[in-house]
Amino acid sequence: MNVRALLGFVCTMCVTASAAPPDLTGVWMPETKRTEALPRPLPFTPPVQAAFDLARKTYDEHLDDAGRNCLPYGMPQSMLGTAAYPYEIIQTPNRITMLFELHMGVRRIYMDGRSIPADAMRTRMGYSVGRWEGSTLVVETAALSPQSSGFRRSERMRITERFELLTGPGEPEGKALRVHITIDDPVTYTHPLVVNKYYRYGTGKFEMSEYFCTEDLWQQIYSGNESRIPWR
Amino acid sequence: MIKRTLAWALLALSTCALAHHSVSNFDFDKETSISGKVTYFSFTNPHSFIDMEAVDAQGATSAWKVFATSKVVLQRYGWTPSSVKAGDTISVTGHPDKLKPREMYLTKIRFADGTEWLRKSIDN
Repeated sequence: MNVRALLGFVCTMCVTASAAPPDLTGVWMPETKRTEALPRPLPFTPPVQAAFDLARKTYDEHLDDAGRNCLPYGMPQSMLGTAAYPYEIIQTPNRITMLFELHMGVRRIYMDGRSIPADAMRTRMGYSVGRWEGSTLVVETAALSPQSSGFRRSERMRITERFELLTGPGEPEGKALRVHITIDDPVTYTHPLVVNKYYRYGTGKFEMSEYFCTEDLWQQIYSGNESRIPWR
Repeated sequence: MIKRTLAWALLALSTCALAHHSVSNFDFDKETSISGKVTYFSFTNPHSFIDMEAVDAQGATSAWKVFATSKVVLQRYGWTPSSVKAGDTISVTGHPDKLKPREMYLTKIRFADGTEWLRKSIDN
């Protein structure tokens, strides 16, 4: 390669690096191999630990399992699940939308420079705002409703996610997502939980489907098969 | 009710790679196999399940409940609502429930048409 060609190549790389942020649009499937688990046991604060210990004594895995009772996910659970349920990212100029197959969850991440409103309605998914730091998408989420089932959280939970697009020959589908997640909730946990999650690119490979759970249960009930539903 | 709500907190423990809800009642270190006739198939979320009359080597029958993952996932990996029907003769292998002697979590099935499906074909 001559000097001119080399300079041209380097210049192209520069332009690529400083150009528009990467497009994360696509279907993403949780990876089980590289993904990390949360620390066990979770570092609950003393009052939460006491409630948790009481729960352990009375827990009935058939009656109390949130999933079996079709209780939908929220944050951070939607991003932590490692089971075989994909989600889709739709990236548009002022917003990034995430569609989760599981429980038909939706996240809207506002990219227009706004802050999280102090009086935002508290929800399972919370209120999310994002920004680009170079090629890294940084998302802040707050305004989460308190939850004692599924993933325990208080109103003070704040989640920071850093999305990085991984490309290269090492990636089976050509690209993957690494999401560095920090979960800070001083009411529930003695220190922030930090975890890296990986998702493989699944557009064209994994077809997203409709997921209703309660509907299936009701159909069983209406057809006189309620006694067959083992987890009710 | 308060007790119940508190009990749900335990779910924080059970976020696992195997399902979006707890399957911790199954013993993943053991496997058991049965054959017999399907009496009912529930192709549903959050779980699917097959009720069947297993027949052992001595010809004795017993009622089993065989759980599988959600229909959304099964569908993505080759199942249809008619993959299993009442009256079908099938063979299944799975992880037995820790407490209930005639329940299991499906890892392998031979359908009535002779084709086989393995849970490990779920490639995530």
